[in-house]
Amino acid sequence: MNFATIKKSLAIGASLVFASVGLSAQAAHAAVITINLYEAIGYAPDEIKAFNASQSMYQVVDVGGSTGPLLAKVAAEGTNPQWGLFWADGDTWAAAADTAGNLAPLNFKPTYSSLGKRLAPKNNAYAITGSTVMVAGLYNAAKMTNPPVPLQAMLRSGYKGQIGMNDPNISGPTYPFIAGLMNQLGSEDAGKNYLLALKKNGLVINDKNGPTIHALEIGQINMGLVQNTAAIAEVIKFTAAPVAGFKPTIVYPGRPTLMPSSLAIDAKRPAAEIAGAQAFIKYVLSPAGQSILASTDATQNSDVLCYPSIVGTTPNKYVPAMPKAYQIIDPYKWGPLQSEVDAWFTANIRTK
Amino acid sequence: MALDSGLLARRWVPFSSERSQLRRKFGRIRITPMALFWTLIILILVIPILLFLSVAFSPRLMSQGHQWFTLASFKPVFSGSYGIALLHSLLLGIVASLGATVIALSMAWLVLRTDTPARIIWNSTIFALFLAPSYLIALGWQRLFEQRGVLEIMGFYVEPIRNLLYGPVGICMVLMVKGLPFAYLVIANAMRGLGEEFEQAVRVHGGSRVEAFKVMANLLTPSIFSAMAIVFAEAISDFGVASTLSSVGHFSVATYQLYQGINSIPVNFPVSAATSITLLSLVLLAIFAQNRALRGRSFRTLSGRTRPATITKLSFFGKFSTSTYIIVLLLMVLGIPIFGAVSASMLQGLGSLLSHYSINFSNYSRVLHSRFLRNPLIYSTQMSLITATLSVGLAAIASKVLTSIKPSKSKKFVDFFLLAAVALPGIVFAIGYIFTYNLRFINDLGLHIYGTSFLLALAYSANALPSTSRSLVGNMGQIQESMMDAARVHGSKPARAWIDVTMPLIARPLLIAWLLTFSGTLLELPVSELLYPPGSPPVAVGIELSLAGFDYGGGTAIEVLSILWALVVVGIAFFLFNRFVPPGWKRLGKLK
Repeated sequence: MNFATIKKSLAIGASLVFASVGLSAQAAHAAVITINLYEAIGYAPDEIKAFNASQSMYQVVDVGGSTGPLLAKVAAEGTNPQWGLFWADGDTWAAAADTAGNLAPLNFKPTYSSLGKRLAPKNNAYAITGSTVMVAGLYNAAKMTNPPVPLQAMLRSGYKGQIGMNDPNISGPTYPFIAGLMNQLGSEDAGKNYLLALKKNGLVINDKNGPTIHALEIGQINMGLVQNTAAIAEVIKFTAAPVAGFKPTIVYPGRPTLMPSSLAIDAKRPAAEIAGAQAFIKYVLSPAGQSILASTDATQNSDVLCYPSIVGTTPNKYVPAMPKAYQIIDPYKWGPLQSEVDAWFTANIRTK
Repeated sequence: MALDSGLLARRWVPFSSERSQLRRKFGRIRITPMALFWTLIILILVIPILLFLSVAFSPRLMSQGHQWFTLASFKPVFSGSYGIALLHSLLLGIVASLGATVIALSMAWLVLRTDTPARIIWNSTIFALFLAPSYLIALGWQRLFEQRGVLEIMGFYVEPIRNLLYGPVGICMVLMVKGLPFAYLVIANAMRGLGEEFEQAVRVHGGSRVEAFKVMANLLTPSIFSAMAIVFAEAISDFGVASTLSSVGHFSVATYQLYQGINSIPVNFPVSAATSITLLSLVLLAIFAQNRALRGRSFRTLSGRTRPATITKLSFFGKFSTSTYIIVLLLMVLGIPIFGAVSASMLQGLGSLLSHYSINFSNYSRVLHSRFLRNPLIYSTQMSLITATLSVGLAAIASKVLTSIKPSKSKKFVDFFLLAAVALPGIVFAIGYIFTYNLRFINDLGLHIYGTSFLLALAYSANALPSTSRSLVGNMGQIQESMMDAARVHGSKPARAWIDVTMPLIARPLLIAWLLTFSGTLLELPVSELLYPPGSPPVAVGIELSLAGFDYGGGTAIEVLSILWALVVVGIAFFLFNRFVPPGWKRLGKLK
């Protein structure tokens, strides 16, 4: 065999490897019906494990990540989607997908609680698996004895430079907070004016929950406006190991927004996969699936610190009482405004 | 565009007339290594980048809108505020690349050409520098200078420095620190290939030490520009450091708008693509500067007669001052990220030294059994081994193309796309991969490579190729072609001649390039997050998921353990190299 023949063989071999990798990936799909679940929910792997163990017809495969990159992945897949199920915090993404006709509605009526019914879409386009609060005012009770509760109170000079929040461009859950502000203040412009006033009063912007909470810990701010699950996780941590001079406590400024977690099915998958996806959602909303919320250690997995949406579900033991006043915003109305509001935030609050 | 005509395919004349018609037909085409190289470059680099950029003009092409042609996505790019952000990015890139290169050049000279005592510490820590993620570098600086941070607790008045840190100065510094190890490796590799004859020539003709240093720096120009180009491209594509450190200083950079498009609901890729095109215009500026500086000059100094360099003996004061410089630099570039890691993963309490804190390993013992550590780390290690090997093979060819004396279109083509791959943030690059390899017609051909380890390895390799190639440019540019010609004249076949002549000269730089790629791939996040095969998350995704669940201590502990694991691999690789590689292969860079 001469050198040229060897090289040619190597080239052909490489081509075969190219092809076989693709074909073997295809072959793997043939045995059981495989459904890819794109998820940004901490306890989703436990649900997947339990569901796969409960039956043998479908195999749900975990594709975990952060909500932003996962949504980018879905958008990039365009007209050839590879996801069968998508599960993440928020419902604006689900409403946008529904509006674009990309979701297969549920083929059953979940036994929603009264809260679940208020959060669920009327057309049953996707499932609501729980909800968290945007935002909780996490403050240091050892230093701030009288935290601002009405929204206007945060603008008082006494709180100048003491309040921090996240950037909606980086922290996904922060947009529902801003949309909620606009909703309760009556208009988008009113919400923008409020944020400008807050900025004038020394609002500190950090990327996301972690840095905002650290700013609170070191006393750079005395109140951080963060997702309630992050706030509860901080309270749990310092209740277990108290530190003198730092007493994280939660208050809900104004009327906070309930942010649902949504689980949706891709309408473009084959019928058998859609049937499997329906079965998975049914399982997640069943007593067996819901029991994971209570049985999971919230100190390791804060996503179970949500308010359940299904009748009869016992919430995790660390979940506090719901805020006395709260609001639910219409994702079909506020979702499409996100790009414009985020850009405005960058130009007027973050970088100015 | 004509790409090195003659290299792509050659006619081959069969010896036997008894071959079948079919075999004869296929036998006429000979696949050359260069043909394979160009095919891979086009498949893994050019098409994904072009398809992503195309949505700026034609959103419908990739199902990202309804218009076949529009310029509407450029509207935000032409706003005044974006112009300022783009200018900020350009300045950040220039300052970070200049700073990193100047420091790297001085360090390479001190470590390789002097007897300063601290050079041993530097040599043994350089890969640790490379592995320090920018997140830990930024975190370390923050923890030191923040309000009620370590320095304030110690009684220092640091407010003016803090004001500088949370803004362009701080961002530049972190990007410079991040680029320094790469710049050092590139320049040090090339410096090893410079014998002492050039310095001696200057000295014999009455030149001072400074003049000798200037001549040496001149001969290192290709590697210096290589280092600068990569640090520049990395700096303009940065988002994480700028967003962390600009929160107080309100300093905008161009990538901010790019991420805004990606994070919108619905996702707005056309605007992100338009922003990416402006970033690439900055890359063109970098290439133009590089071409102007290198045009028409030869830097081929490495031959069979290259003499080992002599170590400059420093006086006591020289040793003391240079060692102090190295140690202070090490404290800044390595000590601060270590402090960031300790603060985030071992410090219990308020995450600062303010009060009531304890330092322990509880996060480490906890994550040893985490589902985010063991299997993801094994998977990432396997992928990094494959990627490093593939990338180094491709980089050896790419660096040869880049160092070709003749100005050719293929050289400019490779140069642009390699830098473009760095200047575009990783998430954009990964989206280009999804656009390309999730096309229906590719699936219809029976190729389902999206969502497989195979595609992930290709994307990792393409992502690593720019820095790997650039790390070899300095050495490849030094090799005198006449040596290969001599081997060929004496009957060696091309592959044999390459192994006998070129390999001994670049064995060590190849090893370093391999380790560079291995280390860079192990903790790579954006490409991993978008392209990993379902059910097999790499370790970077595990870390991200830990942090997303508010387990900051656990996430950082996994990151630190992964870095330590990478250092073990680096150590094993050096041991094997020193133990088993022929002595002649280790000659380059040897000192008298």
